[in-house]
Amino acid sequence: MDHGIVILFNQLTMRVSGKTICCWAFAVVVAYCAVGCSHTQPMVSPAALRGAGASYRVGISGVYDLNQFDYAPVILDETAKMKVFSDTALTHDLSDTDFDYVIRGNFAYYKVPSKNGFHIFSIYCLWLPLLSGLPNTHIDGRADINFEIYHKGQLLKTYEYNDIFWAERSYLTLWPEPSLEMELRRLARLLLRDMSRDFFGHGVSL
Amino acid sequence: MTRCLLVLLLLLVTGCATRLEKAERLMARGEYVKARGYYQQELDIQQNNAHLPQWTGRAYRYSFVPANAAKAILGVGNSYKEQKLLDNAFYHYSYFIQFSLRHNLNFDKEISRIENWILENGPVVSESASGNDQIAVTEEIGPSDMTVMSAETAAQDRNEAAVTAIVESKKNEPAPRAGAKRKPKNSKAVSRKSAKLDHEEENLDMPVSR
Repeated sequence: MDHGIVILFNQLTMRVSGKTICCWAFAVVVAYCAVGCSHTQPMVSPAALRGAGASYRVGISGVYDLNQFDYAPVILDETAKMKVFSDTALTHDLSDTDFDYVIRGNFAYYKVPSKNGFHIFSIYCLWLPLLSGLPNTHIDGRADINFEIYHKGQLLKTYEYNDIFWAERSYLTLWPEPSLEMELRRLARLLLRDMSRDFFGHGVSL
Repeated sequence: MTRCLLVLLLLLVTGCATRLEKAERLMARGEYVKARGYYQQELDIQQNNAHLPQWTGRAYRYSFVPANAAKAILGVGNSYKEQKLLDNAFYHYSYFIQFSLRHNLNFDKEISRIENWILENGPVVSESASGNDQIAVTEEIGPSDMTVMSAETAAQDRNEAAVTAIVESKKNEPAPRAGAKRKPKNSKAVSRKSAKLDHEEENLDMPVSR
């Protein structure tokens, strides 16, 4: 990183020419490719869930974090968007007879952003180097979620997913930063994939 | 001059009212949708503050106010109740009770009010309910409904099974985190104790930030 900074500084002090502009353009493209994020769990594409439709009514009975805040609407929205089930709704009752399955979840999540050495260096140059688009923030995070699937009040199965993620961000990064909502949507899609595989894909008798 | 100052002061006071106060005023006026918006805003703010604990110099603390969050949840539930949207009201009351037990908040009056309301407007017992359903149902319905049910032999068997299951679950189960609403009145002390234990675990579960 320090070596990169030295090169950048040298480039800044060089006379601007056609070659320099090309170098800069290349550096910016490289920076855009370098920054981004990575997860240990894949993002299931909607295309993978397209054929998994089942005519079941599914209820969401709360998806709580460590502080017992409810994020069920996010899961509900994602479930409805993926169209795996014929109908989804919130319910307070795990044994609600209106639903074929009721999902409940508990999760823990954290995301810690921290500024890197490039950002600290940029402070002494009036933040001008940050315009290069090189990453100046590193993000570490983790989400652990446990879903419980109930059928008429009886616990059928539990699914547990752990996702560790990191991200590098600059002021010019175009794609969205990892967030709790995005993370929950990712984990909800994993649940839908596994539910459709376990309950409907292989004709498991309940 | 004095009048102008009074008017300014009034404007300042009304402008500085918290979201919860504004929502309560709107609820009193009967504008439930607007009130729910304010409650939801307050809840969102508290939820965002609860994402990551802050280092205070001694320990990591969450910077949200649980009492305000609980009031906001209750407010959302009340607004649905006033609009006769019973499913949503049930859901938010359940959420409120779990939240207040989780944070060991003293909302006994509100919880007993909700219990009474559920006894009046509770869900109908279905015949196809299984053994575990009965555990939930027997806790949610009133004693009069139990008498009606006991007239049927099948229901009697299920009730006996449910009672056995409750006793066994109390012996075996440590403390269900999200099942607070299902507790009968006499087990409130038990549920509070379990919530307190959860609260104590909070510090252990807290993620360590850099």
